[in-house]
Amino acid sequence: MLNVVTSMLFYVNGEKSCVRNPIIGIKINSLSFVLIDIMIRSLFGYAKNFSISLLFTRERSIVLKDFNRFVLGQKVLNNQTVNPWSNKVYSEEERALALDKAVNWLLHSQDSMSDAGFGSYHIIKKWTTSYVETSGYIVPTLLDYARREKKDDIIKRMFAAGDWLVSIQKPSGGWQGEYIADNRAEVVFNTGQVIRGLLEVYKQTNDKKYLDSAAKSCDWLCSIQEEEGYWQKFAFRGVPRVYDSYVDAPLLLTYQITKNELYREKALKNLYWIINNKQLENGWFEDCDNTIKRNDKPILHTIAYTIDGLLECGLILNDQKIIDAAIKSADKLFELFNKHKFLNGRYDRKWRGAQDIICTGCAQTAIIWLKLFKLTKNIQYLNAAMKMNDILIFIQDRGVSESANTKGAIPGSFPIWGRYEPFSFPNWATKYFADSLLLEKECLKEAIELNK
Amino acid sequence: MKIGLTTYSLDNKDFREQLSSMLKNGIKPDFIILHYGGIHKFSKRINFIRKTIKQRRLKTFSFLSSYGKKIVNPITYKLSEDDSKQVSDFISTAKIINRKGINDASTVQLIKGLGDVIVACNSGKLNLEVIGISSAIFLNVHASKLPMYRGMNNVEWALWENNELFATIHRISKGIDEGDILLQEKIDVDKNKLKSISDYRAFCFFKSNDVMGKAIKGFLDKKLSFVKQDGLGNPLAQYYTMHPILKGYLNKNLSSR
Repeated sequence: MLNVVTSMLFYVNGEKSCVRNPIIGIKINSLSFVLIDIMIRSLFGYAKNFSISLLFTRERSIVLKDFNRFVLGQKVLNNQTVNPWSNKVYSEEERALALDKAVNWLLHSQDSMSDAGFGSYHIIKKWTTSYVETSGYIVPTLLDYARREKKDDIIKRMFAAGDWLVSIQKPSGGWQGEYIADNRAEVVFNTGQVIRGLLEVYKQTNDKKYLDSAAKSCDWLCSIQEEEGYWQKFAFRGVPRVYDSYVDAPLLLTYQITKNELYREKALKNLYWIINNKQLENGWFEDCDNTIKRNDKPILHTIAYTIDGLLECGLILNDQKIIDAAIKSADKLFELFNKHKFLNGRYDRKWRGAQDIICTGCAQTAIIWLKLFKLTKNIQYLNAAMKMNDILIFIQDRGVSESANTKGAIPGSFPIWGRYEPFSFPNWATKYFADSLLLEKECLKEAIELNK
Repeated sequence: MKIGLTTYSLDNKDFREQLSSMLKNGIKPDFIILHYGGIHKFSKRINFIRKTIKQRRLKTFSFLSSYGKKIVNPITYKLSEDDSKQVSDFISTAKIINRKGINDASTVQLIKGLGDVIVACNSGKLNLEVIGISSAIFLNVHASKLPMYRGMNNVEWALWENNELFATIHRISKGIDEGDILLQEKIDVDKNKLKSISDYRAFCFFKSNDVMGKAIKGFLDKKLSFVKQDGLGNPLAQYYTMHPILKGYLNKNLSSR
């Protein structure tokens, strides 16, 4: 700490060039100053968020509850950490209730927007505006739920979301990044996810405007793909990333309807660029994080996007090489989960975990295992996914009095102050949680049939 | 070659069943390592008292909740009176070596000093130093087929997949249930008699312990040898605890089979 303070003094004095730290005697270059600066800001930010959330928000009980169950709930027995979610098991009725609560929160999120999209809730900053990308892929989740539960009102809401997405499509064919109020340029990944929503609305309505809109964006995606098979122009932060396999899937889904060979070709090119150049022998992916600074240790969220994208595409194309690439990484996560009873937020190239639980990534991983159960009929995948969902229900089931703004929502991290989306309930976390529970129900039914 | 057994308690069910199996096959073990685990002895007693109180409480509540309902007692398997007497008689004259823990340095020294030994283990996890004693073979009973069903809830997984049940005697190695196999035998089950997971588990463990004597005798008579397992290191070949929802469905299916 003293070291940090000393470094700060140098920084304040404007000595940004390489200087020797008088306390520990190492050289501090400008990069260290930047990192220290970020650290101080981050610490300050955390202190501010903690104070405001505890003193001035109605959600203080959520923060206190997480402190109680995460910090005080951890025990050490026989030199092993026993996590608070250990031995938490939820019945099928409790799982159904958790799904209903998650869906209700997503619908409340839509109601809280000025348009038909979906936003996220932050304990201090409150509701964001609609997040274009996630609004796109929330549509298939809620349509699936509505069809199963025969809820026509939800189907109508999804048509409205589809119309809104079509209305905000950029002239190029792409969709903007991040929140609608940010009014950013179009982004490859985000565009791919909106296509998912539009295709589902098209399947439900048979209205060609949704398909035309999706096809227009696919044309745009194909036009900007680099020769090598990756996307750099209009990519998030302008760097090629492997989680664009999750863009290849909607391209292929559009190909299945339109039979436009170009979509298939471009998707294949990207998929083979990923598995031939970016996947290590142990299943880890290079260039997988959505930041540049922490690309050596990507978040589970983007790792899961990459695997899910590969798996989905492999199944559509019936390409065993692509499926095997997905299985290789999914099995590694399976092994880590069964060994540690949870998954970390980040993993380095040797699959060494760091950071608290990132709930979105956990739900996405459960979805991957459930898809693998459907493919291989290996009950171990279903078993692991059910255990993962137990953890997520434990996180969702806070047992405190909550307003509709948070009730049923999954936080970005567990505990809520974790580094990924701190003090926040991003809509994509709840979306994947709902997806996972929907798919689990289907897989459980299948497993019981197989067991008879 | 000397023959031995290890156990936490001379009343341990698995230990007594394995000893009985050895005696029935004409093998008289040269020693029994009884390890209490020092301080653990105290914590074990506390744990025992805690569990007993909990069980009593649960029994009281379950009595209230099951009032008027038909109570089905799980099937238990135990040694016959003659076999049990034979075991008790043998224990009263056997060489019992008391040790603090199976992984202690004194235990390692003791086993090294015994020369070539084959030890049937009922002792929890052995550390690498113990496993690494070149003159000793440590055996484990696994109530399922290897390498197919390693690890936890192996009987449940075999039942879920409608596969046959096996008893396996294998050498203890670094990985869980990855050691070379000495003997693997199919367990014949009467589906009309066994109606729940606990019935199957009790039956399979009883039958598996009964194979120990035959395996050691076969090894000493040079009729059996260790065979390497295939498929090591695959995470999916390692079975983990079954989710209670799956167990619930399995129990339901077993009762209607």
